[in-house]
Amino acid sequence: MTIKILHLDDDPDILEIGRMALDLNGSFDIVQCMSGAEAIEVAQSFHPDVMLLDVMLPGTSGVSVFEDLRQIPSLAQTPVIFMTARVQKAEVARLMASGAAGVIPKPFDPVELGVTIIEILQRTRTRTPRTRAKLA
Amino acid sequence: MRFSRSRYIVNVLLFTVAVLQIGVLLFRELVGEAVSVIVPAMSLLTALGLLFLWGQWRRDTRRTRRIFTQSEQLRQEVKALNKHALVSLTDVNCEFVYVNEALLEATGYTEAELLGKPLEFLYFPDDLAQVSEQRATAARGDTWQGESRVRCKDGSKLWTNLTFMPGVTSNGRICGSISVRTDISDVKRLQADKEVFQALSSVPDEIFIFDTETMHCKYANSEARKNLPGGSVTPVDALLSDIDPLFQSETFTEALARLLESDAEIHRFEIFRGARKHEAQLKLLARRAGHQDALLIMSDVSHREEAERIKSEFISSVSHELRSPMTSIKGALGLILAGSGGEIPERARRILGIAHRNADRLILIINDLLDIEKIAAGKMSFDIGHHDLACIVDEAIQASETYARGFEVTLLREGLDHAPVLVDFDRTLQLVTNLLSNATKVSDPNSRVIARVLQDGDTVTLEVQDFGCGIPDDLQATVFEKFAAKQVSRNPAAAGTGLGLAIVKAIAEQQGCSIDFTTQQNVGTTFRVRFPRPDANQGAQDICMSEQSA
Repeated sequence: MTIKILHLDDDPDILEIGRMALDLNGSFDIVQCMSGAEAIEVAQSFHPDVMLLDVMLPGTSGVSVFEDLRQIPSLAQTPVIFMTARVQKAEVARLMASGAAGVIPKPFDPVELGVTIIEILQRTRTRTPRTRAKLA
Repeated sequence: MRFSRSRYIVNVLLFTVAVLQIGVLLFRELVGEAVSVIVPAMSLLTALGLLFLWGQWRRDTRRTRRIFTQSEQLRQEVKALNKHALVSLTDVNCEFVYVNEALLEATGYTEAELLGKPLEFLYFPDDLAQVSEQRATAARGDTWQGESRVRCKDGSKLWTNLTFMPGVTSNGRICGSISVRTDISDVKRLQADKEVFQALSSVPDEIFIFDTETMHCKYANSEARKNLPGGSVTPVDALLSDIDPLFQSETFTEALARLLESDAEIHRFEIFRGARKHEAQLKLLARRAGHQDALLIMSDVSHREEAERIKSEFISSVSHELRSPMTSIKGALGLILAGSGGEIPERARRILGIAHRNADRLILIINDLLDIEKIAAGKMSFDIGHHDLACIVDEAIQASETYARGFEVTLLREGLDHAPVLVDFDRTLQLVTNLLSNATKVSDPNSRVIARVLQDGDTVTLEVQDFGCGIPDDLQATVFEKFAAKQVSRNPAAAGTGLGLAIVKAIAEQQGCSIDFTTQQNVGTTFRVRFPRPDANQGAQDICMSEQSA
């Protein structure tokens, strides 16, 4: 069973690396976006099982996109994992406090990325029944 | 003299006339008719003599009264002089024969301690040339005037204005010296104050001196005046509260009250002028003439804090900007090495391996730079709690195993299986990882690095031992300094930032731990971190278990 993942990052190279990294794992159906607005639009039709959001985005932030996604009833329960280059403890704590399922620091290990996402999904308490069924 | 002689002659004449008159009266019968002429003439002479004597007596009385008045005036002048001036007399050998009360009071000596002592006794050794000059001047019959220091009994100096003149006998011979001094310590102090104030005036901080009782401003340097609201108000002698509302603030009044109540000489606090933060210090000055003055120094730190904030933001932002491309580089290399781009020849794999390792190294450098920046700014946060050091060491070994394998080094843990400590888990993990990576780098291939957890009384000790080359003697003193450890590394390609041990030391010390090492050339080095054992009863095993199950 594949896990539907929506990946948002403004850097096309990172998106490419992310796609290749997740392909290594073979369990992900990936849709990638380069802006928050695009992510919100795509997510409503794609219905992802998990969303991987970059924090620093031009003109907005991953946290802001996350808050907007939470307003959409069909996506309100979808686990969100942040990717950030700001790895200070306080920053990570702030992201976790906003309701994230996990935080993956940049630079990430492409070989481990898929495994890390699955581990976070297994840990998260707010996973959707659909994800639970897929992880089971 | 002239009057005295004439009075003598008049007295003799009067006596003679009186004797003759009595003789004439007694022998009236014998003298006969001549009496009628002689007696009135003699009576006239007597009357004139008495009149003369009465005039003399009147004049003498007036002179006596005048002399008495002058003498009283002189006495009062001497009294005043003695009150005001420090007077001493010496004999011809320049030894004290008289010292007045004021001199004794000012110098702290007793009369017995000074009389008979040479003039030089009251001088500092540095001023003896001045004494010779004074004596020479007096010996010529001249007067020496100038500033002169007196050595008091307690060794302190008393600045005086001195008139030094020769003592002369009634026949004009020099018989000693007379010193009359006035205390000019206050003048000197004012001069010194003036010099200090001139120096203070160029200080970039705001400086006020004020009376803590009357709250009147006594001094404000140019920086202080510049920053006063209204600007043109002359602050000296004005009430502090009138010159700046800052002095009406609760912060200031509380700080002053605290300083006055406590025994401390200085009180530091922060105060805001509008939105600008100032660091302030209040200090009590020596009590003078019944007044307790205080010194207030305020420096505007808003610029500094702003600069620190910008610097911190810059480092944070640069690190972020560096991390994004590093994510792509490291990711791309990782994917190629994982075979995502297809099969790669062995030689190319080795070359890509070098690039991948160095990408990792660059990331570590960025992390270390961020940490050292945080340490320098005092912003490294610690979330202290009860943890098991053995669990932390296990986790650090696990995290460092891949790295150690690259050096063909085996990481081992020995000693206690549980050792409760009161630390920040993540920072202590970083400390142990740094020590392990440092030990790995200096180890030969196929050797071991041992992390040992020990306990001695109330102290839990972590030892990280390598069997490498040891730290050369000339580098031992600076091993914990920034960029010093870099030179110790055996393998230049494996060198880190040179910040690792500086970070280890900072983490250890900020958690109340001590760190040291023993080393021997070509035998190895052992770093020791001593953790104070927490008093809490909670067992480390429970904590470790609960963390694992969480």
